[in-house]
Amino acid sequence: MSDIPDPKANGLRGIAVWVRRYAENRTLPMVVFLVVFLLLWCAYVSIPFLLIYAFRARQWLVCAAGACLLLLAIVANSWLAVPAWGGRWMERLAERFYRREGRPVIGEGPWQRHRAIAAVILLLAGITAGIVLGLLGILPDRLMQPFSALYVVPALFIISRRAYLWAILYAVHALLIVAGAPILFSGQYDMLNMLIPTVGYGLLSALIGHLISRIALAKMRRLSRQTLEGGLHG
Amino acid sequence: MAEIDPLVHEPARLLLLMLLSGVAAADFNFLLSATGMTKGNLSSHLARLERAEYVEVTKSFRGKVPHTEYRLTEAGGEALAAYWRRLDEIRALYENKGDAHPNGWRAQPGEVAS
Repeated sequence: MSDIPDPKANGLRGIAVWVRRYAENRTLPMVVFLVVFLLLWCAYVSIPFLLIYAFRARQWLVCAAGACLLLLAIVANSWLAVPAWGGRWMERLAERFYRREGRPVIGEGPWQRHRAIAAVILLLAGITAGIVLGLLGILPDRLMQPFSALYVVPALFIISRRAYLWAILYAVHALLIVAGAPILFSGQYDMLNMLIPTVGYGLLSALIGHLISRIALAKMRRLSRQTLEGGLHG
Repeated sequence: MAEIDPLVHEPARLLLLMLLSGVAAADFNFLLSATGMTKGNLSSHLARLERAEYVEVTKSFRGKVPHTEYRLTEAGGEALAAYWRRLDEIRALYENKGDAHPNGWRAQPGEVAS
């Protein structure tokens, strides 16, 4: 059916392209997922400080509340990490967000499951290698992100070609660090060196995706209206 | 010359086929939202496409809610491709004669199969 959608066509023939573009960029659940991930990260970073402060000040009530919050963050993180729970939650979220717009199915191809498994194996192997090399002192802290780009970028491409923007930004960030660009954080902010390329660029890509889906939806509806009003036929 | 398929030529059905050609499948709500048709109108057009075997329907339940999904069949894809080919041929014919319709092409009586 490759001769049906014509990307160059501005008329009705172009609608198939807009439909696909819309379906591929329904990224609002991803935005929510990454924001939740960011909040959890903030909890992991800030709650231990709160706990230490409260413990030293003998504020037992604050100490207990902090411990409960930390426990809650760990439980939430574990729940999100399990595909049967976190993945299902994402699906339900998508259904809720896009209830009025319905559900188009893109069809990732027969190898999607295999690709996802390959990406997870690649990520696990890369993370393990990074930790081992870091502990042995072979991999300096400043090269952690560029090293991670060696497995994160291919993994993002393997998972879905829709994550290409995220992968490109991640790769560019790594290249800039290797080239010596002053984009490295140090001291208490050094965790941002990983957080920005992962969550930051992911969030940016998802927001851009969402914007594209809104534009595609508007274009699709306009073409539909014109067709039904008889003003567009080819 | 091959005739234009009247089932595909109808704007609402052509629109539905074009929408389905862009994705692997789509549910009823998506087609409703994308086209802005009424539920009854959409159902009747989809039923005609289903009868012609241009569209395949899958009915299931998502939780307790019934869910109907439509996908373009191979025959539907071929009919759509043939339709656009035929349309281009007619357009080229008009352009060669130098008497193209000023408001764009419209099917002429006799060119559309009954």
